[in-house]
Amino acid sequence: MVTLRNIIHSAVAMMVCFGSLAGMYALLGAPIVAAAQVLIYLGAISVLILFAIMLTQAGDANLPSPFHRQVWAAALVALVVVGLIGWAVTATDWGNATVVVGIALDAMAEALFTDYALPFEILSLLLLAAIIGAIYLARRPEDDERAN
Amino acid sequence: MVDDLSAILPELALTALVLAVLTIDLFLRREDKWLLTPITVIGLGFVGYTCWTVWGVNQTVFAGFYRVDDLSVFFKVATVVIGILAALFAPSYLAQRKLPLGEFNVILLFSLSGMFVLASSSDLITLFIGLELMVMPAYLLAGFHKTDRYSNEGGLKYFLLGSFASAILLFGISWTYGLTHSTRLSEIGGLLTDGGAAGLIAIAMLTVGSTFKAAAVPFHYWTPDAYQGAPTPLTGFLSVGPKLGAFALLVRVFGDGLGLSGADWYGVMAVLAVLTMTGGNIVALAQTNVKRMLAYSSIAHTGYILAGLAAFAHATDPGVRTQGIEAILFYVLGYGVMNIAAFSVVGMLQRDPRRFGGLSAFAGLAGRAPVLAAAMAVLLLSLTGIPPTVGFFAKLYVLVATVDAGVAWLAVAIALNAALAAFYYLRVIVYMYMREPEADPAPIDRSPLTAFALALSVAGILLLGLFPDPIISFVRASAAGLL
Repeated sequence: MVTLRNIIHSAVAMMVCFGSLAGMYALLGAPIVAAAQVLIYLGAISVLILFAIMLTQAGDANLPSPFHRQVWAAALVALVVVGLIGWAVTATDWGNATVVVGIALDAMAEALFTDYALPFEILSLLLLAAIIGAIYLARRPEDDERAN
Repeated sequence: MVDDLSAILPELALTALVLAVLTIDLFLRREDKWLLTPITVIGLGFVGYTCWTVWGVNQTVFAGFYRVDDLSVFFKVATVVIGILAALFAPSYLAQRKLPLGEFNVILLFSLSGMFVLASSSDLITLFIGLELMVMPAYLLAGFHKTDRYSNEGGLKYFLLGSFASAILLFGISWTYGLTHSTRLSEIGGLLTDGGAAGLIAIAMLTVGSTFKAAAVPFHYWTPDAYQGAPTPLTGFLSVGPKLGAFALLVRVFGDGLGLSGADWYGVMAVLAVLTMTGGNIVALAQTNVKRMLAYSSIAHTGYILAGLAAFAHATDPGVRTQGIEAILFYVLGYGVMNIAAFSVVGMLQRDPRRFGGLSAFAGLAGRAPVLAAAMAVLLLSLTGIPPTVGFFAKLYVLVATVDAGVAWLAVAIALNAALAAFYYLRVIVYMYMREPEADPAPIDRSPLTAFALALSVAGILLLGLFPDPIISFVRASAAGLL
């Protein structure tokens, strides 16, 4: 995904990435998360990104990525991080984290609206802030002056 | 015991204020928009008052996700103080550039509510959501001047690098959860440090993610551009608000979560502290633009505050441990007031939007505006750490905490750095008092609101410098809530 020069190709490669993540969630015994991954990331966000690219790219989409000059440095850092994480994963006793525990849909829904009620409500505040910010940034400056 | 909803009264009041400002903004005519500033300020005053109703409550609510203790009350009161100053400093600058006041107030209040949530989080989930709620509006404030190239650049850099840091923090949280089966800060500590290699990776990612938000060297690259690009009074808020939140996060994660295993991460914090204060100061020395100079110096201040955290980690005696936290609290509040005011003085010299706040704009300011020059001199002396200002006691507090904790070399590093910082802070004073003004001096913004806010901050800095006792006892009582 990061090595492709055409941004549309990158976006499609990202969809494959999202899809494989959904498969991983399903294997880990979290079918609800997997379904949400397909619906939201694969379905909505990918399409949104493709639309955003189509609407903002004028003409040729084959623009060189500004990060291509640092490709060797980036590859080196990525290798080091992969090595560290690989070492940590193999060297650790993960205890019962390896046991796959599923959770039923109704139990999850109940937890979301009882124990997790506060984080859930704060998230809605965060979304409201994001929406207002997006509207402000996307609005034409002339409309700002009229609003002010 | 109070019930869950009374315990989050300050948060509820702040959310109500956000929604009220948002709605009132819709119905105000253009010439009445100025009313939003008094509404925001008075509303924030009321929110500050509600913070006192949860003083001394000290309990965990909402199934363990939220902790209302005196430490959180301190952070919330400090948040309100900074929020009020930001709301007072910005309007005149925004009006000169025809930027909307309503959106500014709403976005500012959203950011403050994120800081509230961060301060009270006792669970990694609430902590992360609170962090996002704080920084998302902060990205917007950095890019608030949409038609300005520098503001766009600063906002975008802040957003990209900030999201990157959030992702690292989130990755660290997921490792933590995988290893400990818990997101409770009170439960993860021992399990993480016994967790072997994966525990180390998790702690490393939590450290990188949270010090990134506090702008510590070597994770500071976003800071100068984001701070320079943002509209100047907003830079003042960005340099203190999200930093206050980042330190609330650090105190929560490292004080609450990993507090008992301090010896394990003391070294990292101490090295980060020294790197940050030295790196920030050395680059600040070379700046000729005052706004950029203040941006780098804010990095140096992060280093001093991190030294408080290192002292906390190194000490074994409970009384000395709390001293490290007290130093952080005192420093964050004092620094918040003086830095936001210093940035706003730079903003006052940018009434002509083409001015960039260079050092030459300060030349001969004492002759043109003696009161403003004197106020700026007090702020700079306070940032340097010279008595009788609050900046002096802040540095002293950190010094005493490090010496008592047995890390005297850190105290030496702080003292050397304070001397280094004196050079570039005093240079501005030399320009103001000993240089002739340039041929075409920058026009000065003399709006009464900004002047009032500036007078308020300078008075606060001097009063707390002369009589620091009330704030010290407040800080002591708050820090006692942690351990």
